[in-house]
Amino acid sequence: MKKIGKFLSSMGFAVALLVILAAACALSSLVEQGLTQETYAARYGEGIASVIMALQVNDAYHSVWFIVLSGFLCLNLILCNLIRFPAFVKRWRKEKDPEAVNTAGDLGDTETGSPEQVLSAMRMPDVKRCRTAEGREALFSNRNAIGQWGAWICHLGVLLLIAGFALGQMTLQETVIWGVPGDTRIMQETGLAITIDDFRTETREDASVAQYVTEITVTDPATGKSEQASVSVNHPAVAGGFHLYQNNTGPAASASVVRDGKEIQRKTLLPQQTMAESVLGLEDQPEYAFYFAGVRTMREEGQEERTLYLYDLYRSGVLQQGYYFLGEGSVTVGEDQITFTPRTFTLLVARKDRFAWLALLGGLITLAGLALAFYLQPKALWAVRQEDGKWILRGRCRKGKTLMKEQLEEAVRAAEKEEKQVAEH
Amino acid sequence: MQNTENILFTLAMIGYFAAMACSFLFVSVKKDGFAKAGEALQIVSLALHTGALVLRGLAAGRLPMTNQYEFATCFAWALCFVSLVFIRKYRFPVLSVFAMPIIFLIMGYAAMQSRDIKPLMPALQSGWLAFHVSTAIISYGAFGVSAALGAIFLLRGRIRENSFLDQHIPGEAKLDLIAYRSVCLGLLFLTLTILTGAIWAERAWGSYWSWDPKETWSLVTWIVYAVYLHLRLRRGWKGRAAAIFAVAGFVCVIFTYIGVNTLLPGIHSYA
Ligand code: HEM
Repeated sequence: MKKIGKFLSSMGFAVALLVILAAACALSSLVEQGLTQETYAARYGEGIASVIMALQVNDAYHSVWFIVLSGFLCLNLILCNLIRFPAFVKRWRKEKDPEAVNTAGDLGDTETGSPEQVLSAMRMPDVKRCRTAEGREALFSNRNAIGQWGAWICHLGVLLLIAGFALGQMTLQETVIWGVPGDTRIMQETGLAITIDDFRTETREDASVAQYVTEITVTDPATGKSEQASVSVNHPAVAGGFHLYQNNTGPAASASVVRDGKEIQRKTLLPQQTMAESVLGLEDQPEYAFYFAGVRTMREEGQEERTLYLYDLYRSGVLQQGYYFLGEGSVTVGEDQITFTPRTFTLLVARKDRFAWLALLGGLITLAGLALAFYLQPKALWAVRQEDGKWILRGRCRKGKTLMKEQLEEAVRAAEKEEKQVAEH
Repeated sequence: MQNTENILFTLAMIGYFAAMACSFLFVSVKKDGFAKAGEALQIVSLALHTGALVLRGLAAGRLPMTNQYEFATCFAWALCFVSLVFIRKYRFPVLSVFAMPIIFLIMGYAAMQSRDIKPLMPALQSGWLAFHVSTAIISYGAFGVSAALGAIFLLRGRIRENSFLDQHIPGEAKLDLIAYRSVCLGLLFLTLTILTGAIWAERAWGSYWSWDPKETWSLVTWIVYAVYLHLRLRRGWKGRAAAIFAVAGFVCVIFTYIGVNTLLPGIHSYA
């Protein structure tokens, strides 16, 4: 049991998991995600396609094995941080403990006549005077003890990040709202009514697109209150706890069915979408249906480019006739007159991720942990007075002793030089 | 303005080439003067290069970091800047023997890209973009330096007999430590890059992480360097193994930067 715990919390296991995860991500990125087995078979052959499906590489980042691996990584991090917590506290105390003057340190011994000068040249703060166990005079100073928490904090951050991401994915609510100005949609998740008041594409002088803007009115049927909002790329709006993002646009058509001079039916059609969104079924003549087949552009000699709108009329599921219009156009079916008007649709994505804040917090903590671990490396430096009056400098810096030793030697030389100059005077 | 920018860019490129030549002469002829000249040339070229970037930024009215050309030239700029910092801080001119060819190659890659200033598509008009890309550039520059240091470490064994190089290349422990320091700088900025990218993606696309190939590869790179950090803590993994990792990590960086755009489809295909 103890052995298993030790293994699960070990750094070796962590490294193995990280390597496997990285390799899995790298390989999966080479395979386009979310395609069907047939598409993979056409691309890579039957054999590889069945391997892809069997190993769930078609949806690798949501596959069982990926989640299990991530789960182990979290377990690993939790155990590692829990088990090592006492050791971190102990090491933190030890970093600041002047008892160090009785130890050899890891920089070797360096002799000097002016320890205070060297300590201050090394930017060591709050030098404490103390005595060694043998009663020798000693100086001790340390800095950046806090930095040793970096790894612990970083691990905590990674854990929160993964937790925030996973919880967010599990509880994510997402829906789309699309239409043309004038349309109102009910958001099932919140009961709010979203009316699209206006949609515009803002362009620059060179005709490139500067921004897509949808103006909406959000009405709460329960209270009758309504609020206006504007949604554009990079500027989402908030409604009922959901964020609304400007996601897509394109050609659409409004269909209006008129009988005896009265409009009896109206619908916005998207081109070549799923049936419900691109088909107009005539309510009073259910055997008939129009399908919005999309748009084509054409250009004749010496003329500007023009856009054709294509509609197919079906009767009992059988194609009767195709129509195309350059702009608005009408078709008569029995007593109904159907008028199609070209429009531009806007599509908003509404999302509610309750745990995005946790992922962000995790990310910031990870960042803070890394900054601590890398840029506040704990250092200690002490000097012990010898019988001949000279001092022996010793120190400790777990992660940068080569550089610290170099700096120390330089500081000692500089102090000696200064001493000499003072003596010559 | 674009003309002046082009002239400055070309001058910087010539300067980098001359600096590279000086660094090669420095190790082959073994005269300290070449190291000094190389460093001076590097500083001058960096200044010219900075001028080109500033002019471009002024002409475009934004940070010049949004297409392949701009990103490549900024990448070379950062590599030059970070390597200069390390050369001066650790008194280590030999680093430029390895850094300058990489800088020169990336400048060459940049020179082959289109230099037209195009207006930004709406998704790219965000303050987070500037932050995201500038942190990426620093991070890539630092990883480039660590890869150069790793390469020096690995080749050092072969040239140990050479007393001149012995004098100018730090000992193994110090080399390893400097490479570690530059990986630290790189990883810290890569973390910032991923964070700012996620915040921006959330605003632009509604989802802060969507496993797009570029995102995935930046995560792979991040993990590779996290593994590097952990391995270094184990006995026997400092030095040679760490140096190999530093070089391999940079291969991931380059793949994230160039390979993903050319080989894999995704929403990052514009940058
Ligand atoms: C998944 C499980 C992980 C485990 C079990 C683990 C374990 C450890 C251990 C035992 C240490 C040594 C701590 C010390 O004594 O100073 C360490 C250091 C560290 N770990 Fe992790 N780690 C994991 C994942 C990560 C990840 C994903 C990162 C992200 C970058 C990370 C970043 C660090 C850093 C920055 C250090 C300090 C290294 C240095 O300062 O050179 N760890 N880790």
